[in-house]
Amino acid sequence: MSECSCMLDIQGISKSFGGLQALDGISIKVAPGAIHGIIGPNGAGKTTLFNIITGLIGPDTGQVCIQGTAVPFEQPYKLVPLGIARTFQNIRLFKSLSVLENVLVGQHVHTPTPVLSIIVNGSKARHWEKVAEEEARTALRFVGLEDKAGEIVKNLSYGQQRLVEFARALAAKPKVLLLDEPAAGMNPTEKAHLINIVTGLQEKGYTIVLIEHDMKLVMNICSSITVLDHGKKIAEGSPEHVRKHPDVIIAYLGRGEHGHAGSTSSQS
Amino acid sequence: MGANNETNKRSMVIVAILAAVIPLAVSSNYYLHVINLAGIYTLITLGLNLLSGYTGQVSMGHAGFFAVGTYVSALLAISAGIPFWAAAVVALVVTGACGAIIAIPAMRLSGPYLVLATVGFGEIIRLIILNWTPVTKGAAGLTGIPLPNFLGMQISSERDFYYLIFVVVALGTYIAYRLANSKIGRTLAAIREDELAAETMGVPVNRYKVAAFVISAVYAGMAGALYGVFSGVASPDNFTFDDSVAFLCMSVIGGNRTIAGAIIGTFMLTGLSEILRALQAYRLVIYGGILIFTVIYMPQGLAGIMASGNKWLAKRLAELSLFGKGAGK
Amino acid sequence: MQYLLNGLPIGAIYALVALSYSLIYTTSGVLNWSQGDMVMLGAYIGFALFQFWHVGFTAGLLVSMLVVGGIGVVVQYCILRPLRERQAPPINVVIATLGVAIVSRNIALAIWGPEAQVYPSPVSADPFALGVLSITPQDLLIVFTAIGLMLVLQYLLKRTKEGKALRAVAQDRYAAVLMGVDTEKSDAVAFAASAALGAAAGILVAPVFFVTFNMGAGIGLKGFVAAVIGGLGNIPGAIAGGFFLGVTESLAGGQISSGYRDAITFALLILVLWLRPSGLFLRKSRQKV
Repeated sequence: MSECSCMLDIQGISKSFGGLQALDGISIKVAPGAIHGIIGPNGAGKTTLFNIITGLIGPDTGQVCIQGTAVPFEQPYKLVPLGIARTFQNIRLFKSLSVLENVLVGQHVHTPTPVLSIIVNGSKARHWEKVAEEEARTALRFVGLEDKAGEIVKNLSYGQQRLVEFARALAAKPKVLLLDEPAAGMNPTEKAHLINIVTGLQEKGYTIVLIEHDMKLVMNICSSITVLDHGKKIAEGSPEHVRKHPDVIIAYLGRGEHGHAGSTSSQS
Repeated sequence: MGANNETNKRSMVIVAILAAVIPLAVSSNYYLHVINLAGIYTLITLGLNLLSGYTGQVSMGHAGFFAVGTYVSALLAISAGIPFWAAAVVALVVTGACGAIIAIPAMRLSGPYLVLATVGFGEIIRLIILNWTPVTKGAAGLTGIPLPNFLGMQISSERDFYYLIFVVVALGTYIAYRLANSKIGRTLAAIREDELAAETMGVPVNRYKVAAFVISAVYAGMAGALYGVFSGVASPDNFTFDDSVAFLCMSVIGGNRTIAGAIIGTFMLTGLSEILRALQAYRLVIYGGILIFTVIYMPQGLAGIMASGNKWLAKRLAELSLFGKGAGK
Repeated sequence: MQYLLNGLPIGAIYALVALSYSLIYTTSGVLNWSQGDMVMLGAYIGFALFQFWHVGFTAGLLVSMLVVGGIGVVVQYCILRPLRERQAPPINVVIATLGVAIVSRNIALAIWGPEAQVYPSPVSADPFALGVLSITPQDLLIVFTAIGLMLVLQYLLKRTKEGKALRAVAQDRYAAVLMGVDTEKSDAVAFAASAALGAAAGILVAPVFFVTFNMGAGIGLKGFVAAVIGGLGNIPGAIAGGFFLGVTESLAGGQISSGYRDAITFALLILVLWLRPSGLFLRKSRQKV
């Protein structure tokens, strides 16, 4: 496989389900520190791509490399140590647990689990628990939810839950953050807050890949964009390039989608 | 959790004092016997809470682990004269291995499929015990399981057993409590809530599931070893599917997401079972009715009620004032 | 080969019970552990009808199905519905159905006592030859009645309004609610049908095993196993699973060992589940991420 100086190197990923070709030879190179958007009409294969990268399904062909290291397929728990963390399109939080506990789980691989020390409540166990809690609170502070640390997630609003998922992914200390429709269901205030968070993360050196339908948001914060349609890559490049690309306009207009390239109305 | 450390320490001291006093206060050997039995069952429920309550892997086959614990330790003691403690350790190892074995298919399963696999396991163990007559004496069962000997003292009376069982249960409760209120407990709960999300966050879910099965099996195995010396006899009739069901009920009624719930549930149901004995024929009807009532109106079990006390009462009264349909949440 | 034939009647019984489990599971997601006791109640009611009013087999079958179906509706309304409204965790629902099982079993015990009752069969139990194999008219009665009931169920599911509603709820409960389907009525219908099928199984099996208060336990468990083998919620799978289990049991018991027969069946079951976590006939459903 060709070496590249990119953070995330998606090489020739193909996947079909039954007779349906969900992804066809998708190759994307994400530069370090980029905010890379993946957009496309519904059914284009965006979430499938994410699921393959994060190990939830295996591809038919191709591979994914993070900083040169190949990502193992279908072993999701190996991803965080490699530096990949994600959020989900339908929020997947631990609903009966508190906000802090949710974020602490994101921390799992970064602190050891000394069983014997835990059983006797030894100093090693207490030390690592304290370290983990501090990291978790830092993540919560970053998204602005530190005061809700003790709340049960079930009781939070939708927008707040999305932020908790964010904090949880941050606690995993990733190099690459994969966000699956992070703005879905958010009101304009929440979206503005989200934009601040995402750009703040970029400043801190994170690489971000996101799937989104809100064109205004995508054009606003992404440094580069890949457009998928029916499992194929139809355009890639800077926001300006993509916005004017004829294939992209056809893909969106052809389906009667709102918020197509160039429009100022945002997708709800 | 951490904030309650002082209250925890205080309540533990109170419990310790009470526990020491009970055998002196309870005059009847019969009642002490029931308490001892409940204590043994509590070990099973503790393990079950960790597996089914915390990790969400519902098991209706725990009588199987219980049986393995009893038979392995009893057979070692009877046939090879091995002292109780050594026999119990071997029993724990064997039971733990059983836990690992059933965990392998079980970790792929969820919901009713998982339940059925555990039921199958429990039944397979019972049938092996029933049919492997040369070793287990089949339906006739084992008799004459020797009493344990501890530093020269033989443990034979109800009171002796009480202290033995109390020490084991106290230790078991402490370990379970520490596991539950730590990163491990949190991780298990995460697996219960959303296995996929937990795995995506780096949790090696399968490993934890196997560990949970092994731990809960070991707890049941310890209970089994104690049961063998406590009752002196063992037969496959003591380890049926109905027994597995009973253990699960104790776990749920007490509140299967807490450690205190294991103790509360076990003692309540064992006590209830004894109290109702007087009512003869309708005793189990009432028992069943109580199960149904508890599960509908006290979904978090008795431990949950004790935690939220007045709130629960207020909610029930509010519900009653809305005629007809329940108030939902 | 004879074992195969021997396994058919019990397989038919298992199929009926498996159907019951799957029907309820597919509509309301509930595992009804009291299903076996519906079988027991059906048998007892048939017996009572016969003993006091000399009611014949067919009438006994129909009345029993009706009565137990009614009991099923009551159970669903008084117990399962509040649990659903309170969004009770599945394990609580399991305990509740277990409670129902305990209650029904002991009410039966209280009413009829612990002795086994005899329910005579309307046809003879003497085997006659069918080529090199032998079969009894009773076996044929069981198998054909069971198949007949399954066909009636198929018809009701496909042609009646309630049946279609039930199938809609089974496919996608939420969508059914949006379409205006009365999901609670469907739940009740599913329960009634399941209980009735259980009662029928009880009447059919009563002449073979004696009628006792805990006859439901074993049959209930086996029926559940059959339902899972076929894929819980899969109606034709349940039927296939039932017959498969009956035949396998017969073969294992006859060829290998009668004492370990159930152990073999369970070991087989665990093997099936390991390889196909969602049952033999159900395709593994993909999780939506």
